[in-house]
Amino acid sequence: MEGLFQSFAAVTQPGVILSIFIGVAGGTVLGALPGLTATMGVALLVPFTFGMELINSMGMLLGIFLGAMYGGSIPAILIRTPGTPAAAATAMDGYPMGQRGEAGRALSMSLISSVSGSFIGVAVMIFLSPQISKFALKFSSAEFFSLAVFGLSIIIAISGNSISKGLMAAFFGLLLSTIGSDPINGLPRFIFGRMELYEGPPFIPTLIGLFAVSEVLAGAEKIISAKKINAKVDRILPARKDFIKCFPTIVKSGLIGCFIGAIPGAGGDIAAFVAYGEAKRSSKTPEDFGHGAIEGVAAPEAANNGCAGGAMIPLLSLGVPGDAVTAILLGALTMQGLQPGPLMYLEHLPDVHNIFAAMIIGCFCVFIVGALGMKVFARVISIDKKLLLPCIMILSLVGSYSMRNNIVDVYITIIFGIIGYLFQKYHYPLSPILLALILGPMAERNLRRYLVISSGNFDFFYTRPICTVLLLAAVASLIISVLNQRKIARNLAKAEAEGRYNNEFENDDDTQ
Amino acid sequence: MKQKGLRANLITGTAAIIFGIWVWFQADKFPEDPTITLNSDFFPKMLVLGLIGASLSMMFIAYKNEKGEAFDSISLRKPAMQRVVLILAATMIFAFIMKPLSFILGGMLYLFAVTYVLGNRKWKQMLLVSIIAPIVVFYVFKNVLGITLPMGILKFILR
Repeated sequence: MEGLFQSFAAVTQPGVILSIFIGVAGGTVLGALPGLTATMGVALLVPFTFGMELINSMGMLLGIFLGAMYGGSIPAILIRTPGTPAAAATAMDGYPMGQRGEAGRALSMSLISSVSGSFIGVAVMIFLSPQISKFALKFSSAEFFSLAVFGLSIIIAISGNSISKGLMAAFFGLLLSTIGSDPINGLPRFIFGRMELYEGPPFIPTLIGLFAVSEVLAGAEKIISAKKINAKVDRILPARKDFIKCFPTIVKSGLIGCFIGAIPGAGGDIAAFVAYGEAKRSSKTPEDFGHGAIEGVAAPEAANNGCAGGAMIPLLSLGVPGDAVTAILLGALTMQGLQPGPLMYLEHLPDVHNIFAAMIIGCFCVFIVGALGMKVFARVISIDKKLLLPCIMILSLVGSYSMRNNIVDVYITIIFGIIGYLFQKYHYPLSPILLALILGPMAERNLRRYLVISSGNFDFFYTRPICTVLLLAAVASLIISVLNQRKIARNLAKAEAEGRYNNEFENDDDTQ
Repeated sequence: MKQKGLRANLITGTAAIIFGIWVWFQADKFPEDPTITLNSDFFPKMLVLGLIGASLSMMFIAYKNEKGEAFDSISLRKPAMQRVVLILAATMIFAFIMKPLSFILGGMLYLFAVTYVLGNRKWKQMLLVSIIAPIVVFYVFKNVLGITLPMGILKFILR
């Protein structure tokens, strides 16, 4: 606890607060732009953090993450087009409220619910992740391999409509992760004489290509004119009566979001719909849901923001990302010299405390940025895509270049942009590639290390209880996730058919 | 619709299988390390088998699917696809000229060209954004982040 207080002192330095603030504002703007996903926003803004000191850069990264999670609700309420899939449930009641002239009421409730949900998620993260990491310290190679398989299995299971396409994308990503030096003997693989590839495909240029450049190309294909905002934003804080009415829903949904977010692969969209369903089920007036019930805005917003803290739990304690956005955070933190996972609690405890403190300050920043900038963010939605897309492309290329001042990274970004575009075009999800790039080396290193020690014996499947549990959990999660995904797809299709929101997302796994 | 979707899935599935076979043969060329039981090709070959298995399963499911999947075809006759190709070409040219010409000049040309390709015809707005955005990005990177973007032929002015 003392360490956490010391971290508060470090994080409340003006420079760090400013970094978090800028991160939250940038994340909110990108989250608020329909069609520009939170994953893309975080990928695009990550290179801006590398010239900074570790604590500033960490603060900005977490700020971007929290801001992007909140930003998605703004267009969902104002123009019935969720900025992120996690905000799709918000549109179902938020938009009717806006149509009734209550956009300010809906937006203010969304802000307060988002901030409350984030606080709940962060509180649970601070309490749970050290406990899980203590347990994970008992892990050896076989357990870490099983953990990587567990992480991958869930990611694949939520990969859009086709499991086999998700699997193909994951295997493609895993193969990409084998480019570079062999983790056991250091021999080069698939580098074709290019020493730039000895350390593997550069992570940031690869992900900028996959998530930003491909989105720009897809956006160029279907230029949609920006929608005019008719709704009036007349308040920034919810009425006391509304807050008291929604308080139990917010707390319950924040907890639901956090625990769902803690399951690797189960993102904000699942949490938002589960919380929405629960709020409707427990409401005295369930018939109001879908027609502008204020709890219908509070529940999904608290849940998808609670997810942010939840998704950080496996990231910090096990080194396994909870979703595509946390996968980018993991890559960014690794490049800053931090390796999230159980050992981080032993070797870099002050940094862990800094992350906790930065998340708490980040929640306050979301509130301040959200309250002060609500009217501005509402206008951001109207920016013309014809101007926005070329600017995003320039930022993507510059971001890749700035990593190593190497033009080869720009070419790699363009190549992965084309790959990402083609994958999207043929309905292959992109998130499994990103997660495979992170989990692949972990899986290979630990599997081969174990097989070297055991002389090629695969008996860990049944001789090591943790491995058995993790591998069985992988199979179970695969089945459960598939069933959940089908249910959500049905709900989304039903909501879309009823015209309750516009869906700009074809593959929601890639658009978190 | 079914035929079109099936064809697209069969083509991408076959491409993945060919890619897998190519990776397998490349992995075969890795030098062997006699000191360890499992060599560098072990994991990539395992993954190739997985990729081929998943591709076959995807193609089988696509074949069995009654309704078929809806795809937007890639045809250069479509104006939308022409836009994508032109933007890609402009992006590649920008990447090539960024170093010799400078980020600022290259960026100005790139932004103007791409906004035009995207259908913008508000000339004043296009000129303003094309000129201001690269200069702002250059100085933010230089002064705030300490990263100098390529200065090319402008290096005597920008130093």
